[in-house]
Amino acid sequence: MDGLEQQGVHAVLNVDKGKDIISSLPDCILHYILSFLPTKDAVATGLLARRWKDLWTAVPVLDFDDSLLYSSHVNYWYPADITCFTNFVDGVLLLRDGSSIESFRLSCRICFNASLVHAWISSAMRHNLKKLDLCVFVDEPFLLPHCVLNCESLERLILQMNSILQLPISIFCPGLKILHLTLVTFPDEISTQRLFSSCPVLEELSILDCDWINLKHVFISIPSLKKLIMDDLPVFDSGDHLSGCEIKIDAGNLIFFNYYGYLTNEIHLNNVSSLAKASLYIPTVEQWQKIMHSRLIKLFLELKNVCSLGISNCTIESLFVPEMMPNDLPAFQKLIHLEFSQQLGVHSGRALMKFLLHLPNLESLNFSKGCDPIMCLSEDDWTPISASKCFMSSLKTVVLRNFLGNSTEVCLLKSLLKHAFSLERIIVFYHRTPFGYSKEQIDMKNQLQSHPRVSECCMIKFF
Amino acid sequence: MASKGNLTLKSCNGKEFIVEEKVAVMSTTIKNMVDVDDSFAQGVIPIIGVDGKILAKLIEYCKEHAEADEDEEVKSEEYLKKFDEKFVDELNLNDLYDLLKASNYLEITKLLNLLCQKVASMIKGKKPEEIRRIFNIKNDFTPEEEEEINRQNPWAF
Repeated sequence: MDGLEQQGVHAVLNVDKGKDIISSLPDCILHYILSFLPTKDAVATGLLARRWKDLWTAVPVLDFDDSLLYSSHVNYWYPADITCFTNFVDGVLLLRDGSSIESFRLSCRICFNASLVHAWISSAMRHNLKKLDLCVFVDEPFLLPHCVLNCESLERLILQMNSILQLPISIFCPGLKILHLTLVTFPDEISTQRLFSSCPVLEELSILDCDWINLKHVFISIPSLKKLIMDDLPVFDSGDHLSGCEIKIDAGNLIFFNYYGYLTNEIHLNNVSSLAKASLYIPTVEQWQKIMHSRLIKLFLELKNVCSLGISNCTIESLFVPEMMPNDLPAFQKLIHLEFSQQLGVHSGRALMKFLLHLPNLESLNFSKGCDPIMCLSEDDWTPISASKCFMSSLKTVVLRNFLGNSTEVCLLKSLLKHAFSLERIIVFYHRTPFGYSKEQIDMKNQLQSHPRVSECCMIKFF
Repeated sequence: MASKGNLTLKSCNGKEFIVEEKVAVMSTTIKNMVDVDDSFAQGVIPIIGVDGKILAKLIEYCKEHAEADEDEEVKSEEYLKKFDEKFVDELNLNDLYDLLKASNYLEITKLLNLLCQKVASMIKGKKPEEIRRIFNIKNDFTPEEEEEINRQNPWAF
């Protein structure tokens, strides 16, 4: 098609300099454009010309961010006059036409009284709201309006709030597919369980930096759930005791699980046979090493069906703590894709070699941040890789990013070329600098491309 | 006629483009045409109201994104982001409008999003005077009308 495409490029186009074309675009496109603006800017377009005067009253997205309204004159010593913000939100909601609101976002850095926020949300909810995104700081427990958690149209709820999440007695969210909770404190076991069990079609749940301190054991059952993201706060005040809450999650259709945190809470994934993709980022804390190791092993046992795993340095190191050999770590028969989400370091490199013994069918290995430049390993150090015979026969693709051209990286790749007899391709992405490629990068590229390989069809591509 | 797996798209000024089906069906409108009526898949699909130059741009965009969906490793998110940035930065205002209308009609949602975001970024944080200058918008309010708006919504501007 290249030849034909060329012809098209030369087609004639009327270029009318100075003509106002944007105003002649249909309302639906202009509304769509305005929906990418903070509401403050969208409303301001009403002053441009008659064509624009009332366009903003039907924009399907409302986005109120208080920082935009008094960014110029707010500081710690002279609190802003919040009435300009409250009048603005009141005014926009009052002049709103009858059309549906697709998305309503409210982000307030300054504490508002809860009744005001309550009234705004309730007002937006009357417009068949689909997405609600709240980032509020309140000085008292905040009760979500009853209508938010009893709404047929709501599909997405994002709640970021530094307070106890007071929940209404009755909850029913028949359309809610995405729920993100950040910084909230769960009030008690019963109402927390009620929240999660009242969302029959929930597909994505994200619980970030939330406080489980009021709960001892909680059982969350969400059969429709496909994606679960958890980020646990560290608990620093409990000495060498890592208590936390025992969170049992039952999700028969879960496909994706992402965990970032210190395993302060004990997480059990029950009945997750369809879980295909997991990503773990667990830092090490020396004083809790033992308990974290045992929790990690338990978690890993529940990941036995994953085919794709993302892992951080410390996570893989915690798996192979020297005095605690993970004898009970099973073989992950289904795992075909392994990705390192951090630069591979010396310890994680060694742990990786042990871990590979448990991955008999791995096909693709991705070092998405490359290798730590201070790491210094020779080809001999990487040879234990070859001990895992079955892994070496299944490995097809290796991706190495951030390639500097140092000997550790080259030894790793050479070792793979030497032992992986099904290898099809190695894809290397250079570490880029404004000065182009270094001599090492080019030398090493040439060296690798002419290096003998057991898999004759293996290609090495550099980008 | 296009070979198997390819579709022929014809612009309003008669330019024909042979495109892989996976690229063409990034447009929901084309996808629906092909799904409903098999003769489109065999023959030529007329793209009403879109000239050859704009159609070529649309195809350039769709090709890149369709290939990225297939090969994540080489055409990563980062790569696509850079491609998108360059794509919109190189457009003049007229092309931007034509592409907006075309991607709206052809329902290429990703591209429509990208273009609307681009226009929004040209409006964001600017004073009405500046916005009028950028887009050649003529202020057709009378001074009385302007005063009226300011009086009615003192909170707004």
